Amino acid sequence: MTTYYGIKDGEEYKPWLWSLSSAQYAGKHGLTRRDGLAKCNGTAVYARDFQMAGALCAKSMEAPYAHAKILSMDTARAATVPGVRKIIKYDDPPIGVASFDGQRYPGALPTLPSENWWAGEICGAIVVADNEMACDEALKILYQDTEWEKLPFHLDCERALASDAAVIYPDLLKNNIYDEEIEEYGDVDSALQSSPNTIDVVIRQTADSAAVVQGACDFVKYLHDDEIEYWGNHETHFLFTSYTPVFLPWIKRVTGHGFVNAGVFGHVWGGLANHLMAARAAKETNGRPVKHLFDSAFYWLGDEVGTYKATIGYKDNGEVTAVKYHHINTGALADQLTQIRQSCKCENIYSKKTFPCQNLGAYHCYRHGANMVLTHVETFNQVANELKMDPTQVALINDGSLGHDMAWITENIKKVQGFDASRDSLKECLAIGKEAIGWDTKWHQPGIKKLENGSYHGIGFVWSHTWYHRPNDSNEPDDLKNRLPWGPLGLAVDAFGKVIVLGDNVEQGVNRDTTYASIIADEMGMKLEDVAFKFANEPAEQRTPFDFHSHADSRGMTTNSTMLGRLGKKAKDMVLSFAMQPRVIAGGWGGITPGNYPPLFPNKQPEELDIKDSVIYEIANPANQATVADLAAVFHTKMFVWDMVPDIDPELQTFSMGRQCHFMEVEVDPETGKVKVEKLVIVNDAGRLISPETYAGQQYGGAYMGFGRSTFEEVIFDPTDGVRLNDDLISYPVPVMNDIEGPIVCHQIETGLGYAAYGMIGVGENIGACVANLSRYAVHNAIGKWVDLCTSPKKILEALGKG
Amino acid sequence: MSNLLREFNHVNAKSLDEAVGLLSETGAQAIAGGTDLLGTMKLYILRDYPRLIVNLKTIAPSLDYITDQDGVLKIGALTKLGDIAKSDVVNKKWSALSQAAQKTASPHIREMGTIGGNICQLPRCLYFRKKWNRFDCARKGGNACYALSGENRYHSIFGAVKSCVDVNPSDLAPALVALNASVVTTKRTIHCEQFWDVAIPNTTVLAPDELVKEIQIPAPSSGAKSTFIKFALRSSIDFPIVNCAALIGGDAARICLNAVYNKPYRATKAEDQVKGKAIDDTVAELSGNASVQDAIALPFNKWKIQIAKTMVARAVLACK
Repeated sequence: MTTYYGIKDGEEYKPWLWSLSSAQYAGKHGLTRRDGLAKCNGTAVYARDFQMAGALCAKSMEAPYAHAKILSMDTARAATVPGVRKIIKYDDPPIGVASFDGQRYPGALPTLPSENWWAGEICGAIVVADNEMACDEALKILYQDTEWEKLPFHLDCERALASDAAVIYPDLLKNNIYDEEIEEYGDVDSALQSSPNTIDVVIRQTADSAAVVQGACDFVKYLHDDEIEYWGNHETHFLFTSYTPVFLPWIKRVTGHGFVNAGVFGHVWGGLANHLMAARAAKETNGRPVKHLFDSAFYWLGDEVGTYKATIGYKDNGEVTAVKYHHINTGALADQLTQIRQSCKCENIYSKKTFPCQNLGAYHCYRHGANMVLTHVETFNQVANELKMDPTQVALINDGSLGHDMAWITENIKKVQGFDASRDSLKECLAIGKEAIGWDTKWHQPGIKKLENGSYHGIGFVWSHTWYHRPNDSNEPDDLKNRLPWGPLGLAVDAFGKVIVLGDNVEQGVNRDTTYASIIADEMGMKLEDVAFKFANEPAEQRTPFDFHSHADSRGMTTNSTMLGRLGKKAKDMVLSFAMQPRVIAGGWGGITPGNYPPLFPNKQPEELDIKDSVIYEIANPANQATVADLAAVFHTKMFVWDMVPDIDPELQTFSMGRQCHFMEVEVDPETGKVKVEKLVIVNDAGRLISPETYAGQQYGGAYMGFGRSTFEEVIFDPTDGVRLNDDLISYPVPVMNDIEGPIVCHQIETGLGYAAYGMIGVGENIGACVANLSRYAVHNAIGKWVDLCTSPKKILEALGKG
Repeated sequence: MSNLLREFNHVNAKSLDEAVGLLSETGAQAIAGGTDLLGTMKLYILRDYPRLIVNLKTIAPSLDYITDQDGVLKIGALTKLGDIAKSDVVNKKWSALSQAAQKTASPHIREMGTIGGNICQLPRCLYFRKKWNRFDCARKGGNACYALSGENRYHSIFGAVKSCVDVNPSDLAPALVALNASVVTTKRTIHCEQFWDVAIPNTTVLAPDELVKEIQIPAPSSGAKSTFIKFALRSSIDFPIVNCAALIGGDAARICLNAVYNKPYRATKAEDQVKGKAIDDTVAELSGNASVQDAIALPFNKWKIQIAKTMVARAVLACK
């Protein structure tokens, strides 16, 4: 017998080689979403819904200018608003530690800055009051009683770098360059010089928005002078457990919880800022619980703003030989090289990243990734355009990973590590996608196909590797990882034979419960309804020491499924091991007479037994059976196992082999610039599907989100004060289903080429990030002109000389 | 800042007289569907917050009706946009209005919003609508139009009125102008071309204690056809970038653009191009070109001139 049920010796740390013990639920359609009802009928508890007895409300001043300094603030009038308990001011004695390398946000927060760096930023004052209305009233007065000095600001990254541009933070920097990074692989200059062809490309991308539907909300309650408990609605709230003592050193012990999340993702520092404000406010109000609300979370940007320049060297067959990038942007994740290196064979890549100081707003990786895919896709689609080649052919020619082509990866990775060497993800994705969109009959040279209705027909294509392709695929620096509170998962079987998985997590609306439960149910042979999760999502629930290793973020399934898979296998071993043990019943609990009873399966070995539908049975004699509940009635006090995520050697999982490709067919009205989507085809390699509907939900959601970001979502700033003007869901146009007129067709393939359990590959923000660039290529194919992102009607008309 | 409503008094008016009496009080505001008013209150966009909300939906007899009375279409001010969109009576002879109602907002809003509210709605200028009256602009009694020197991609292409380059955002307004409608108020009957104005902060000539009772639209002349078309970023819900209604045929040639000027813009030069002519592509194009002959682009809204021209040409063709 192996250590874990069904895992062969030596494969414990190669989860892609595991197989599910059964597949009654995994891969099946039509399972009822365990989280669906509460979210549909409104009973799901979101952060702002929650009221804590005795809690005060706090709100911070949000800067009314892009860059300004408070000259004076008179709090006397605001303090008279009924219900106001405390106004904490920027020039009060500082509290906490105000130092942190890098990003602005936490660097200034515990001391409340008097100078803001973007409109809407927390600064100046925190009002603590009995209720939200009193906070609002007091803040309204405070705005009137505050004198500001407006300071220079920049909303355009290229303008910020101009030689005559005002230096906006002269106390910190000599110019407006916040940071600069250079990476090089291979010998780019030599490769460019020897390339038969080169092309220079410039793309500009306007800012999009986080467009959150619920602003940040954090509760903090002091349990003791040095101990707090908090509840946050931020995806990465668990990080605050580690960071709080860094900034507020008197706090020695922190217990954190996550709410059902309604759209506060990414941007750790923004979420942390809100949390620290709550902690500070609670400290200064005699320890009463404080709910801090940050209404301007909508100000957080989506991370896709910048100018991207590239010099591309290529052969006549479309093979890219070298690329030299210069990226000027301020994204929270500006790692443009990851995407192209993970999914192409080009060895010679140089990247210079310049991060200019700007006053646009906090960058929020809520919607990040599009700029990373843009670098990759633009490289190959521009080459295809120059050579008048089909871009799908150019994609295949360049497919590879980390400087190796697919033939090398097949020989050295797939075959060596036990993957199915006959599978080729991009080829398979392309075959399905091209068929679904009708590519071979519809693709044409740019700008040549005008329809009877006067519109131009266009068809576009983007591709990338499918991140996250491995467990623990993370960008977090080591120092951060070391402070994370990730713990093991626990699994108990209660007295009624129900399986309970223990692990804190963040609920983000991705049908987590059913998907995770399917893995445990299939691994253990339990009915789906007999598997439950103990998450600590509400203040009514107590946090356990158990944690999912990935808190439902981008790596949720690849990491957590691997934890769950092995935990389920271990749990099945545990259950079967009790099936042959004598049952010693000491008390009269449950109406069972005390005494010594024989095992449920005397003289059997675990390998002679199996479990199906929560019933243990003898494989050779299926009529010999007993329920897991029968067993648990006696052994439940001992039925507990735990497991960590397998510590897989990263060297074994370096090369990305899963791919995605997406297609958009459009009509572009040359008289209005309107883009009508005739069809959108989404194809992903899932590696192995657990919940097809959850997966498809990610695909549909990503398709809509990407469509909006690609075609008309754009943050509009007032050029005089730098204030964001379209900061609600009326003026900032997020698309809904009716905005895509044609069908969205989603396909999934299962190549097993991922490094997670069962060969699984993540889906996360893949699709939104890719599709966010897609209209650029469809529109170019239609009108024969390159249009910067987003490809709004205004920009299309301007490209056509009509705007 | 939050979207919480502050305290206010609320009265269900039982009659028009009672409503008008209540509205003469300082700080009183009428509410019908509330889809515009509640938004302004939640975001605190105006200088003053209403102290009294007068509910018109409780007025008897109800102002929620659609009738064809001797060829004149009469629509009560409280008639919902959704009912207008679905009305066979309206669609039969006044299809431009039916289409405009159908293309306004979203299904939920159409089931709440009324025709009276739609034609009286406040500006949608991004500066005007910025939360907590961040920009105390000319339309609120301030000194400056921030859009004029700032961001103006969605603003007027026919110049400013009273220093304001905002546009009227109503979808129904151009249809009513094209259809030659009149607005019956508690004080008078106003031809719709005189109904809209650049007031502070309102968009109509209504006095504070004056209410819209009814819309009256004459039957189009024999052979006339009407249409409404709209261009917006999203087809699902958005306010118009440009919209256009036309009534052409018989002895009629009325074309009205909206979202291009402070008030619905009667495109008379475009009308001149179609009067007495058989409609074809050339006439439509000439009409479109003529409609923007007097247009003056602001720094960021030249694209709207192209769209306005196209909307007029397409509206003309749709009346063929």
